[in-house]
Amino acid sequence: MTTTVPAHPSRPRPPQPWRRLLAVLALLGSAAAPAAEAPAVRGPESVQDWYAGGQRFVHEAARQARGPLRARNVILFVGDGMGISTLTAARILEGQRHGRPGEENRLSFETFPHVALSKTYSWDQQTADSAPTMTALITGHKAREAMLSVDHLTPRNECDAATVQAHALKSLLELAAEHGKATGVVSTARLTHATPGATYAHTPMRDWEADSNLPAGCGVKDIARQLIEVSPAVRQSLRVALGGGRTYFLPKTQEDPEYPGTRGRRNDGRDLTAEWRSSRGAHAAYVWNKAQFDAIDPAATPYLLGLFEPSHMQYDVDRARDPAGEPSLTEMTTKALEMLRRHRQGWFLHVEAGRIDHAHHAGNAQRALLDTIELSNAVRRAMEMTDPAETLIIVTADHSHTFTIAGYPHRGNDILGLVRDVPDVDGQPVALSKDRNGLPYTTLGYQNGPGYRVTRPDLTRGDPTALDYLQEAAVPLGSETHGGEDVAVFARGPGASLVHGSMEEHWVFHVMHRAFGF
Amino acid sequence: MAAPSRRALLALAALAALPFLPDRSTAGSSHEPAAAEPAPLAAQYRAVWQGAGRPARTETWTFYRDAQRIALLKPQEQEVWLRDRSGVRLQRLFHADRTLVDYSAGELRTLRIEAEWSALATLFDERLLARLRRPRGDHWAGRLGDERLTLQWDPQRRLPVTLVRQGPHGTLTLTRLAVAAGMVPPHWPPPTPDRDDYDRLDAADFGDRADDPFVRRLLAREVRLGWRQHAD
Repeated sequence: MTTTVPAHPSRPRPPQPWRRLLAVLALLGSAAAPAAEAPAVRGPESVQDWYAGGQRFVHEAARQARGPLRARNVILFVGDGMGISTLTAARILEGQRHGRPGEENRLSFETFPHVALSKTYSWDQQTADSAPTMTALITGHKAREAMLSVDHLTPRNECDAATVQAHALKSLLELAAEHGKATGVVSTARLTHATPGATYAHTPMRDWEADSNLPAGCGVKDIARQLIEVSPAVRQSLRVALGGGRTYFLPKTQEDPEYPGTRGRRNDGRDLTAEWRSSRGAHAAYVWNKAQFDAIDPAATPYLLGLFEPSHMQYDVDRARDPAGEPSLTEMTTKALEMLRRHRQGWFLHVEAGRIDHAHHAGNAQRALLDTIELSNAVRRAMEMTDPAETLIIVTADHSHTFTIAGYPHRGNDILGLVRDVPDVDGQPVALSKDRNGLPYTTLGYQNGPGYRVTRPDLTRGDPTALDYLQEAAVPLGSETHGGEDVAVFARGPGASLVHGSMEEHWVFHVMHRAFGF
Repeated sequence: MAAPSRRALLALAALAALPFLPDRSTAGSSHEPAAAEPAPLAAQYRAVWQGAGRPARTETWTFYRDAQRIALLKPQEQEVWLRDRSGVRLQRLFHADRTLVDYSAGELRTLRIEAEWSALATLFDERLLARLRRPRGDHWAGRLGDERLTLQWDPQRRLPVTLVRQGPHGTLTLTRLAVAAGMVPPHWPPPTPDRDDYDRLDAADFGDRADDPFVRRLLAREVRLGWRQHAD
């Protein structure tokens, strides 16, 4: 059964030339190729609707905007899975770690003057994954589940490279490169993961990170290969790429330098880290540990690739245990800015705190919040290193999670602890709030995930403030899911005033695009 | 009797009833110091699983341990614990699915799995012997959590000779067939922790792959046996 979401009655369906062109192409090619199945769920929009809507939004906003609208540089920070409840709890936790009640604290970007809400649904998902959401942020178009920077007409699992190329959506990184700007990508997840991957790759399947992930005979390049085999403009522009995912760049015949017994996962025998160096000139560098990273002189290193883990980087709180050492998100952001800000024509940088999402999926709130605090630290560093008169900084999330802050805890109550509410009578001590069975409960929880218990335990016997604690969940799932509510967008600098009100997620691209003045 | 510690549960992990993954019961805490690490060796066991209302299944399991690796090889699955400066990490191989799953040290910590090396290396946490009765010699018996155990312990090699676990899901009986302290017999299957012809997943990505049938099955098994559960 196919579900077509009806068009909004107030918006007439516009002509869809792309559909007609594709229909013709399909006719010409249909003798050889079987017709693709229609998607089971389809939104009512055309590909052009997305772009046109975003352009309309910024055009109308610009007419009423105050302050400068042109930026020389743009930074897009994304907290993967950093919903509003995550922001709230992280700000409280940060404040409490500094000995304050916490609620009055502000994360660095919460001082930005312009704020909006962002609607994160995709073309076919009410609650979306990171692939179409980052595609929206970086290309100005909403897209399909699991697809990176290709339009929503792309057939699922399409393996014809020409077809994928025909559906490719240019990212802001690619546009910046074409306009002579330097660019960079930083993430604590694998560099080939959905969010950073959408900035430079075009693929119908986010999981195609190395060639060993591709279906047999698939003609589409894997994502790691796309980082190396970029267009000439991007090859010249992309100065710095830092994150995890080392094994996706190394051949299976090669052992990982940090973890004996782990090998690369490429079947094609290629060492893409070596190809980065060979394709970017004599002074291009590749690093895989903290000492090498620290030794990099931004003034003497025109191109830098850093892959600090075989897969994702460590959670910030676990970083000290990394055997070879790895830089923090703040340190990576600093290094990237030191390299990029040397370019007089300006630059674009994307920075992702990629593991907030993973911690929430695991039902482990404290790691999610600590990684959020580290993102705030990275933003603070960017604020210190850039001129607000020429650099637009946007901080947002791609989607939310089912994470909640509940009960009536008193001001300053340990955000990680049990709910203790305000006493009814002055002079009485605070006391635990109890459920209807007389058992206490934590402030933090999840709507679903691994924290489900058939019978609620007595939490006074455990330590809910422990780092590894998994907060309770209402619905039993092995892995907690994303949340569908809006996320926040914070903006500072030229063009930031275009961020306002209730926005479609892909309008964020149009704000950045307008700020660059392309 | 106090509930087994998480350490104990991990040591029992390799002995999980077929075809389930390591189980855990309610975690307690133990402050007893770990014993010195046992000498490297390999061993083979006959494993008989009798599930409730099901015919018995018999398999040969091969066990390896050294300073950096502890591996338990079953016909359909393989579990390899690896130790390095990052801590202890795990690789699970599922031959029918041709899939290898990596659990980094950080991911195991997020899952609240405390990988005590000496407990894993002996297939049974020797500290639990103190909670069992000792009717004679190196024979032990008693209850741990919801399981009844009978055990013949080899104190020299620090491995079970026999181990019977009777639990709510069925009975697992391990009988040691052979031990190799030096050269491993050539017909014993070697541990291959890094199959490059298998699909490779990072357990940290399970949240993004909840629709994957393999991931769904593995998550359900892990949850059922206590690997992704509430803290207490």
